[in-house]
Amino acid sequence: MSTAGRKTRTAAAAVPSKPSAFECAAIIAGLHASKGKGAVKRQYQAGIASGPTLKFTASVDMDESCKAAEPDSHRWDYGLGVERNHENEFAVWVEPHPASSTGEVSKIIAKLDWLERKLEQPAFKDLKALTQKAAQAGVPRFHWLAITGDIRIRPGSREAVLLSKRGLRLPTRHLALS
Amino acid sequence: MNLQLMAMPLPKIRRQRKPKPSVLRIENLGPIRQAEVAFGDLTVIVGPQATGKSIFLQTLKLVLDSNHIHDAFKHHSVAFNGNSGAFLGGYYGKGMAAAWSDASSLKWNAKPLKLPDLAKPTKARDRNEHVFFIPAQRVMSLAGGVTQNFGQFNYGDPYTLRYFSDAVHDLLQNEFGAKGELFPQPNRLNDTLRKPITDHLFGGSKLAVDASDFTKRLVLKVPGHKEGLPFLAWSAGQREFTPLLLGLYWLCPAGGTRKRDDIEWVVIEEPEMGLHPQGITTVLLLVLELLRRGYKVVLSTHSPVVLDMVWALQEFKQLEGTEGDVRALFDLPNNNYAKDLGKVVLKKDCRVYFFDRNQTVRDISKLDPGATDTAEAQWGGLVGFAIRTGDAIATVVNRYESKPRRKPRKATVDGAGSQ
Repeated sequence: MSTAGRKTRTAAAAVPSKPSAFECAAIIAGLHASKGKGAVKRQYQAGIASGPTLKFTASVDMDESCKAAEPDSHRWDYGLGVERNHENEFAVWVEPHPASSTGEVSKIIAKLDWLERKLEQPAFKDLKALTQKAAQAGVPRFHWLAITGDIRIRPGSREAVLLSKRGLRLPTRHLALS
Repeated sequence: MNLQLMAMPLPKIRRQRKPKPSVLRIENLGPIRQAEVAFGDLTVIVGPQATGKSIFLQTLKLVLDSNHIHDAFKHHSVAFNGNSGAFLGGYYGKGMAAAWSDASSLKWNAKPLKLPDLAKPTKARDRNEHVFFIPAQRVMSLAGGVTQNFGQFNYGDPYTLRYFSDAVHDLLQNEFGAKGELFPQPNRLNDTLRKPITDHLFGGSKLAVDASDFTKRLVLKVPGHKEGLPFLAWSAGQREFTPLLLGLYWLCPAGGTRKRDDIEWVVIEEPEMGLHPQGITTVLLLVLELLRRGYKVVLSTHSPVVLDMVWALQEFKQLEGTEGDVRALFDLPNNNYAKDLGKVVLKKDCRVYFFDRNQTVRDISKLDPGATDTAEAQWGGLVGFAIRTGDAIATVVNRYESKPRRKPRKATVDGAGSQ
């Protein structure tokens, strides 16, 4: 390898990339944003994928960020910025949570209530706008990920109806955004 | 301690092995590309129309009962003179002979068989009936409320319908010949089973035989009405359920007899026909009774309620559910009969298979809503529309809630600001 080539790469790495709209919105909300899926725990990262035209820009761990201030709340876990064709950024929210009984549905809905209340706060205005863009792009805003364990929410059941009325689909073991 | 005894070798403790399931394998028969079904105590097959479910079940009967079927045709003076094509047309229905081709194959417990061979009578010793088949067209066995015997049908009408109809005819003309009332019957089915039938299927009416015009005709005796309600005035569900009930009477004899000796299998096509989910649940309870009595039951269905039950039983077994959970599922009382039913059912092996068009039949027994195989996650398509409905509503909710909206103006005290 030539010295010149190494120099070029070192120089390129040193240039800080422009923060994405999601990162900017997270900073305004007082959250720590990580690049790509970085804020998502490793065990869940493989369960969250994007289609060929989509790219995860940044992510936040809402649960971790708000734990100290709201230890007893039903906190939602992750927010992710997603870019389509390198533009049109939007935000989606993912909650890894077991679906081993219908009782988990009320917990998920409580977490969604908490998240929606957060998004209504002035500091979260930009995150809310990015979330609205997801629905406008035809991508569901909120996702329940049940990577491990049995899924016992029966399609067509009362619990499934409660979820859909809140804009949530049935839990899946793998989330593939497209 | 007796040292001699200690020195004796201990008898080997053998674990009780579960018997191997019976397996029917069919390839290239009519719409069936490849089907390998390992039967449980309860086997449910699902799938869209014209995917070969009925052909598969009729073939199961033919494989197990071919000699009995030949004898029944002979008994009713139907002769095929060794023409296997004519036999297959007479058994499955007209035109079915062409379904068997050089590419077709059939195996019962790995033993190769050929339909044209089964279409010819043999001199085998076992000539008993092992499969009692309650066909989807069962309502035709009670044309106008009058039972039909084998000979009243035509060549080309499925054998399973003709034979079932004949069994019902025989039951009504002979066993119940002298009785005016068919349901409720104190010596038929436990009271725990009779109650939901009364509540959900007959609505307090009684099923009776009216022999006033020299023909034994089934009627419903409605409280407050002198004359019985004629067959065609019944609800569709009552018309569908009654032949099923008579079939169950045949399978559950009076006088403390547990089951018909030679009958090992009961096939019921579409037990849900015409019924409200409450009625379907009642029929499923009767299916559990058949399992309790030691029959192997095979159902074909288009009802998610049937799979709800299978799913629940599978989960109960996996999560150490109790007979109490089975009773709660079916809203059964806390009595000895219901407890026994719950206990027995939890020991049964349930399996579900999905018949799809031009595809290999798949085992979807786990019914896992999170399965990557869509056929399993959507329970063979039975909850596919429910999933699409949920997803569609979620999409609309997302879109609606993401539309930017003007905040409503705050109304002033005198209401002037609200205009």
